[in-house]
Amino acid sequence: MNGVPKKYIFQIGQDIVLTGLFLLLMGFFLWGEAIHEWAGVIFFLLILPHVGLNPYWFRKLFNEPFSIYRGLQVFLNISLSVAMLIATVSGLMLSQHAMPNLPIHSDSGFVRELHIWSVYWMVLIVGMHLGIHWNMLKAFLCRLFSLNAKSFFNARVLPAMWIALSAVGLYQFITRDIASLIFFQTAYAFFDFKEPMWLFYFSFFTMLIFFAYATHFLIWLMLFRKAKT
Amino acid sequence: MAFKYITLLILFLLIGQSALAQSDVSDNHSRILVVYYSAPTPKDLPNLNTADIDALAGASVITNKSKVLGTTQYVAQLIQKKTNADLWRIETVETYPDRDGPLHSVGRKQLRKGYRPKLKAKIPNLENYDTIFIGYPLWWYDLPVPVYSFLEENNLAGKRIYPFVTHGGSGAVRSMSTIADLQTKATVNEDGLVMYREDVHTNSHPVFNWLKNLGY
Repeated sequence: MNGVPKKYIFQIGQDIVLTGLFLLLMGFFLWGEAIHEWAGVIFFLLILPHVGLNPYWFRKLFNEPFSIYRGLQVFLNISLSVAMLIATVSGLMLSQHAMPNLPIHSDSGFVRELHIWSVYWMVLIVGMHLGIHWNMLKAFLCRLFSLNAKSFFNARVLPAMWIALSAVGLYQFITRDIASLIFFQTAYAFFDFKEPMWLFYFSFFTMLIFFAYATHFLIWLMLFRKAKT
Repeated sequence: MAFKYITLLILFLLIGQSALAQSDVSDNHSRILVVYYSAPTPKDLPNLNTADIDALAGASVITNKSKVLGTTQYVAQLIQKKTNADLWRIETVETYPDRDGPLHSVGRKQLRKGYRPKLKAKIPNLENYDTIFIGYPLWWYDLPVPVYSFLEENNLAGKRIYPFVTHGGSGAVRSMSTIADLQTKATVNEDGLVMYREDVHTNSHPVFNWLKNLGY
């Protein structure tokens, strides 16, 4: 496919699977706890090659000159790693299906709160993580499918769609009171079983898009706009 | 002639029967029962000081007119007064921790193991009630194990059940359909009252609105 290295195709496939798994994980209760726990294990195992297949990132870490963009990227990746670590360890501690007999097992409410706290931060950080790589993903997908990035559809229709989805995401973020989970105000995540499942996943997807597109937009506004003009 | 007397006799009997039936209804037995399980309240802790009450405020316990009540207990009392019902608190033989943290740990362990605590007493004359309100706080997104004990020990067939739940942010989750699963022959209203525990003591309107919609 247009000489795109197989590794990149694998990586983008992996990113899509990771995003899907992330949404599945956020719907903790919808499929039962056992599936949630195993999905978490698979998510963690997929994160390893997601990080490991980008060795150049670590090489760049010390060799490239510092810039604000670079600083933001490093800060986000460290935050994401910390959140992921907390979510994984607390998840293992709470596990009662996948790994129920670990020596670190805990039934503490505080561990559950930590787990909830870290994963709701991840909604925000994963979104920003996506946003920081937005242009890269866009360029890559255009190349993969031989699309013209400057066509009317790609330059006008798609951005309009992302903005609309972002608006929905912001609305969902507010109405679902995600901030109260992020700031440790609520001890349990809310689940409404009268709500159709697709709406739950869709709203978390739009929240990711909101944080991604907002990050993408702000980076352009504050860092790269001047460079262009 | 004899036919006439027999007809009269039958008429008298019928009237008498219906009069008897009426006296049955107006019997001072209330036909509504409010059953609830509430987090252990400091009722059993006579030496409670204000600092403890503060600590407990988030732990499913609220203060009302200098009394300390479980959140669910408080809602149960509101419903009981409004519907003129009888009140029954599900109590266990063993005592549970009265602090949120330890209660969480014990609760989850028991839920995981499917443990059913022994209840102190059985409701007398359960057959007198046709409508039962069941209230509980959630334990880890689930019914508290004492409520499982109650639902498994009692047959509520033919009764109308209205669940009400006080939660820590999760909503009712699956708890109401769990009640329906455990009492298949009862009519369980799975659209029961759902209250966030932090809202209970500031706003009781949802309780009364809910009751109004049910016709009380």
